[in-house]
Amino acid sequence: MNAMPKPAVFPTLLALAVLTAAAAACAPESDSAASAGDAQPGQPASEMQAAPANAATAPELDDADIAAIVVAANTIDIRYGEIARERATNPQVEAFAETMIRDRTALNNGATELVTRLGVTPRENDVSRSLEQQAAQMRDTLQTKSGAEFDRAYIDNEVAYHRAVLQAIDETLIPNAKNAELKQMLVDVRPAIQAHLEHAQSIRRSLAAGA
Amino acid sequence: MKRRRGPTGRPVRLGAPGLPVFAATVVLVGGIAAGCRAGQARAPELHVVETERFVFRPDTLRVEVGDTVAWLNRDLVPHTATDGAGAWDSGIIGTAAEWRLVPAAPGVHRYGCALHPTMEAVLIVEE
Repeated sequence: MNAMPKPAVFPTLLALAVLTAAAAACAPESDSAASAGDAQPGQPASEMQAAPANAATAPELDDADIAAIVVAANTIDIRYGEIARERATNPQVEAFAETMIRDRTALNNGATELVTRLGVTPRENDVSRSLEQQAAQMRDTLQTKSGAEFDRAYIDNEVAYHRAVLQAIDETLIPNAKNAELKQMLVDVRPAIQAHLEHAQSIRRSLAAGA
Repeated sequence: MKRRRGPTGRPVRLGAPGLPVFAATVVLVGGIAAGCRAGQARAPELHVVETERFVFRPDTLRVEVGDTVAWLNRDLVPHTATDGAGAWDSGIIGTAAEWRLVPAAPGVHRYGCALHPTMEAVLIVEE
């Protein structure tokens, strides 16, 4: 039901892995780190706040870095959705892609509005650049596929991408956010990402069942 | 939960006096009943369902026919309130926007967000 994605299909994960690895590299391992990949459907958002917030585990990301990563992560998923809008054939996949475009655009608008009000200017950094580079490779891969093969590849990537984003939110972005409103925005965004993940997982099961 | 609107006094005995008295009694009882109904009539109420953190709150709501139910979106992304049986559909409810429904008939409505299938709730409409 939750088969692991094929690594070759998920290059963007490498960038998010870099993000998480950066956190690990800066501090000793923490057994208390909650993995987003292990999150259960319907997990209360409040549980996420129990994610490690120990400053000792934090990579050196400031609010400007985090803002850029958030915008990049949303924009990447919007662009995946735009490809799916053109190439998807399954109605569930098409509807999911439209929802991703709509929701990620709204999240980006909200994030941009907030950081503008806070006077935080998103600053490109190694993580955001890596995210975009890896996403470009994934877009190239998706562009080579069509029909049912595209539908599966897109949804598989969405499942893996949302898992990775959740993990980054929990283990890196929230613990490092310094401004309280920025931190709260990340907390508020998490249920959306979790719901998107569960939605994508449901569609993947449906595709696997031949629906 | 269901409100009683009829008279609650002792039962009226019908018998010996004959038809005219019976008719008068019916008129009298009817008048009392109408008066009681008017006295107990409840003004329509406004109920608010909030969508926040991708759940409907409350997830089960009981209302009466003629009440107003308002869905208020407190999330960062759009939602809908869509009856599973197709009786009604809010369409897109944007952030900080709301949509209102005045149920005209009793029934149990299992509904959700058409955009986010993980969001489900129940609206129970009583007479």
